[in-house]
Amino acid sequence: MRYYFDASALVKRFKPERGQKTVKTVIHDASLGAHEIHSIYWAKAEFYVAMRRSNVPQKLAARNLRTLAEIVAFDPLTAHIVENALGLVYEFNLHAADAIHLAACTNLACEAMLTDDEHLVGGDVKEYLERHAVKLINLEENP
Amino acid sequence: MKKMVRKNYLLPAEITSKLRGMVKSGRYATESEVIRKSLLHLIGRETGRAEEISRQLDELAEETAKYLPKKKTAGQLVHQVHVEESHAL
Repeated sequence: MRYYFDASALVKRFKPERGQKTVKTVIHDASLGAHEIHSIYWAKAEFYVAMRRSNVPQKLAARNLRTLAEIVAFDPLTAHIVENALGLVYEFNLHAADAIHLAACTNLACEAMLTDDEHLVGGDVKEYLERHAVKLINLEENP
Repeated sequence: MKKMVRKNYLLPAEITSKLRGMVKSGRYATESEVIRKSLLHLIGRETGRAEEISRQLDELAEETAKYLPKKKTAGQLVHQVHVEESHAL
């Protein structure tokens, strides 16, 4: 299985709350070669800012990212992804960052998307992902 | 134990010659034994690496969780970043 993690799914790995077990399992299985996990470079910046805003020390935040990057493939944010995201902003009235993740997920041909972002779990977004054969995994609804 | 046979896989000449040499040395009975043991060794190493990364992530998560706000989910934290970054532009 080819998974896509948005920034919220990456942060969830470090936050003991609902959905963390699912994230841990997918990452662990991926480290054994059972899955692929993709995200985009942009998610690194979002992750880092989320850590910074929470006063997580810089060295710790950097180690978190380095360790994640041993398993997660961070792909370039291409002009094509941004072009696709523009349409999604209008279609679903999304924040730019959410639209970028949605477009990246389908452009990278991922089969499932993990998110904890309430703006990405609406019925219309789910339908859109289903049209692209992507399963939406709402971490709020998972252990 | 269920055994599955994989036949007719192609190996580069340099590897087959090494395999032959290892069997001739007497440390292994057959070329298949060398391949089987090598694969088991590699799988064991990969499993160990996966366990090590999981352990490291668990340790980092324990340390990081001390700073992350308990009242906000990961999704809410990232959403706050989206909003704040937009306003900062």
